Amino acid sequence: MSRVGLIYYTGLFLLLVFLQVFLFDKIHLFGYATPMLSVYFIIKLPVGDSHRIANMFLTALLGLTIDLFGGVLGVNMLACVLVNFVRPWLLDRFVTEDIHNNYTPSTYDMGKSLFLQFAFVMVLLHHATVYIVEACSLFDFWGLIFRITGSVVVTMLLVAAMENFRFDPGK
Amino acid sequence: MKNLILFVFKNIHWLLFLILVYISLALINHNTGFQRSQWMAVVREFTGNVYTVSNSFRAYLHLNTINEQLSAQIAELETRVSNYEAQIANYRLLQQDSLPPLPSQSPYKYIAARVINNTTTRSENYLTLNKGADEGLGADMGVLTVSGVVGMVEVSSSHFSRVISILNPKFKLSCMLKSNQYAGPLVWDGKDSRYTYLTELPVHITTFVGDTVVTSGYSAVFPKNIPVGVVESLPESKNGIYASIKVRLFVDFNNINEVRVVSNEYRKDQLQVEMN
Repeated sequence: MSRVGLIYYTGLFLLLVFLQVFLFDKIHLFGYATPMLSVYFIIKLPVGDSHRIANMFLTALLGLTIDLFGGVLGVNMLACVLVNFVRPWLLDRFVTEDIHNNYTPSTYDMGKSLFLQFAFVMVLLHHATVYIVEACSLFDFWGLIFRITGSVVVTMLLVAAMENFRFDPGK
Repeated sequence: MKNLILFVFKNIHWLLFLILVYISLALINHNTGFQRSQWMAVVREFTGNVYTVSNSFRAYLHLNTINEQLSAQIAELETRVSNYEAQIANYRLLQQDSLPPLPSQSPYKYIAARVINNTTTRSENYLTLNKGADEGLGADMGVLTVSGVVGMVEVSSSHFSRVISILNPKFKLSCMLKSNQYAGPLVWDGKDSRYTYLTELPVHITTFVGDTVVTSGYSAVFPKNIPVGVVESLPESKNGIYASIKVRLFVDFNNINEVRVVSNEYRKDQLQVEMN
């Protein structure tokens, strides 16, 4: 990975953990929606078999870091690891063949619609995992559905906003 | 053999994935155990320091409200102290000769602390306090504010403590109705941070909206009669055996700053007696 890439991912990691811990965890829109933008880091990780192992450790570390700042250990870690694991298959579904091999998922490389669809599935999977694990201690079906829907909507808005301030390490 | 090694190497990401999932499930499953480990004590010192920085800004903005709350509480306590002093003086006048010794000390000790992190939105909520074992805090001590009960210390590292909030279904606090002394566990349903439920009450119970719910003192974590909330709606029974009551909490969990931690010096003795 280039030096620019290294700085980009380190910065993104720290920024997203900071935002999650000090800002998003305190937000509770309409009693249900809490954004979890940390999944944006997983969306933006480099693509390709050579990055697979490193990506796994990075996502596990991201989830664990957020868990360590209060809350139940392992919940975010599990969600991040799961989402990262299905990411290569998802990308195969959403990316058209004429794209070059070395890229990071973005609206620029994938097109707005495909990127947002891909991001939506990632965000949905992540949020569903977090809330289903939380629901194991207290099951409330409609509460669960509202929480997942509300949080996915808010996170997707933030993902779209982040993409507009995009800084692409590959360019 | 070569093929086997190649196969493992080619699918190493599967192996790694399963290991990571196993680790996270183990963490979720034994959360309290891990929270009490030595490693987490080190981590808690670090996250606690980070939260202290962010909290110093927030606390500064709330200084006015905190001051008002504190002076209101001092006024209330002064009134109570002067009442007690008058009572003791009367008592002494009445029976000067056969005066039994007044209890010299209460078993409960209070330590002031500040909340530096707090969640109310999850299904299991915890708080972090800026004091720990060095200041005398330890597991199973009660946490209160001016208005009522907040939670119980789960684990302390040297300078910070993790508190399990009453907005957490894993924490069942024994409470009772002030009017008729019927007691049952207080259990949160995970929905609204303003309300909780007093459960396992007998079906025939009579109460009224606005009746106060206080701690029962059975658990040795809290003294008796600490206010918790008021009855919001009349008892309902789902199974015909037990009734539960919706309770509006006195503490505004979205705005907690200063708390007191109460330690019970007789707690060990009480637990020992209960064990035998």
